[in-house]
Amino acid sequence: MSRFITLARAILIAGIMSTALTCRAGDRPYFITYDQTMEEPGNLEIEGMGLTASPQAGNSFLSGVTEFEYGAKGWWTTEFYLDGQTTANESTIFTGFRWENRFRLLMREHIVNPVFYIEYEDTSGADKSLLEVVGFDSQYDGLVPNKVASRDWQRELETKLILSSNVNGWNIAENFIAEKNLAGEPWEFGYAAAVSRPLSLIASPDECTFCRENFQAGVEFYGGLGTANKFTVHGTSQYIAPVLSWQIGNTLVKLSPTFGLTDPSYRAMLRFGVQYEISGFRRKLEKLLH
Amino acid sequence: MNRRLRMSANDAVIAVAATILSITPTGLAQGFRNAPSSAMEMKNPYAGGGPAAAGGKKLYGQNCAQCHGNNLQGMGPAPTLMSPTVKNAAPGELFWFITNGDLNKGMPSWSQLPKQQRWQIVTFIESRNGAK
Repeated sequence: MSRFITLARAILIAGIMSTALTCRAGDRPYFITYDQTMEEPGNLEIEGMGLTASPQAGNSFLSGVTEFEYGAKGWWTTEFYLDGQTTANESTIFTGFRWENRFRLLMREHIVNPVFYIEYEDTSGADKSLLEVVGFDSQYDGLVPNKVASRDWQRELETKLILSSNVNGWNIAENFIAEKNLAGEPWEFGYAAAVSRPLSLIASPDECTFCRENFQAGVEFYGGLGTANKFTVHGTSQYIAPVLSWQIGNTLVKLSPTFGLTDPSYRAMLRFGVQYEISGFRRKLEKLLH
Repeated sequence: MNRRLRMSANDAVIAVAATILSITPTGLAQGFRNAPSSAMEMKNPYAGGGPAAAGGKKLYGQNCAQCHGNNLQGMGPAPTLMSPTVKNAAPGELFWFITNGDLNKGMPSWSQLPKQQRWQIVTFIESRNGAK
């Protein structure tokens, strides 16, 4: 547990110390919901995300995800994730990887902007990153001890239709999720929706750390929608999560207390994240190699 | 007869050249980076500079300078923003292009910035280019 907490703290400190550089991504404060923003071509964004919870019937845990997001084209962003978790009184384990790709379907801005998302994930049953909630995912899944759950590896294909709008400074995003376990289980469905806004729509003239335009606030809703055999919200996990982000130079710090709304949901969780953008990564790499 | 034919050929060349010349100005008259004509009519709420332009300089440094350079000079595939094409573009056309980008050519959409901030960036670019 303490190793992960130390790692999380190190990422946070490194993020805050990197504020000398002055470019940014303009990313949203969301943890689960995607909007239409793509990574700028040639840029690499590295993000560390954590989630901690103390379930009523199980051991406290801290999961960590390291994410590498690369802008392959203006309309194509690709990401690679490494997942891990540590559970009190159990163990600290690696729980798998994910590779996702997002494609903008329309090349210009519209009232609603669709993005197609496809992800391959190879994760163990012990994964507790909860990057999406689908089917009948519940807090009871997390009660299985690490040594048992980590033997069960799942290869899954996940697709999302992302719909996103920017209206008068507000972003409104909806994601429809369909996930298929490649071992042959039925399709599982879920959703995520979010709304957010910067605290100020106008940029102040001076460089500043605490300007209102550096903060974004919003709320996310997400949960399962059952399976292809039983499409329903009954018996599913449902969450509401206020989100707050703080842009400091090219580093974004995010925080989200999350609350479960149904019995299968974790009652409360805390998500936190730090993302750091390396601008012109492709250009720098090419220069290094030639 | 041959001479008459040669003259006809010359006439044809002149006619083709005249046609091309007559088409070219029409092509140039199209909006900046295919911006629709409605973009030309958009008014910059921060025209005239002031604090908004200063905010635009900061936003430009944060979002645009990595590709277009600190002095708008352009870097690699990202073009200079001091070219006659940019100088002659209407503020609304610049705003439209910043909003939509050109995703096939590597210019991202900046619609995630509030429209006030996109206008601030336009104001800064225009102030550097000596607004008309």
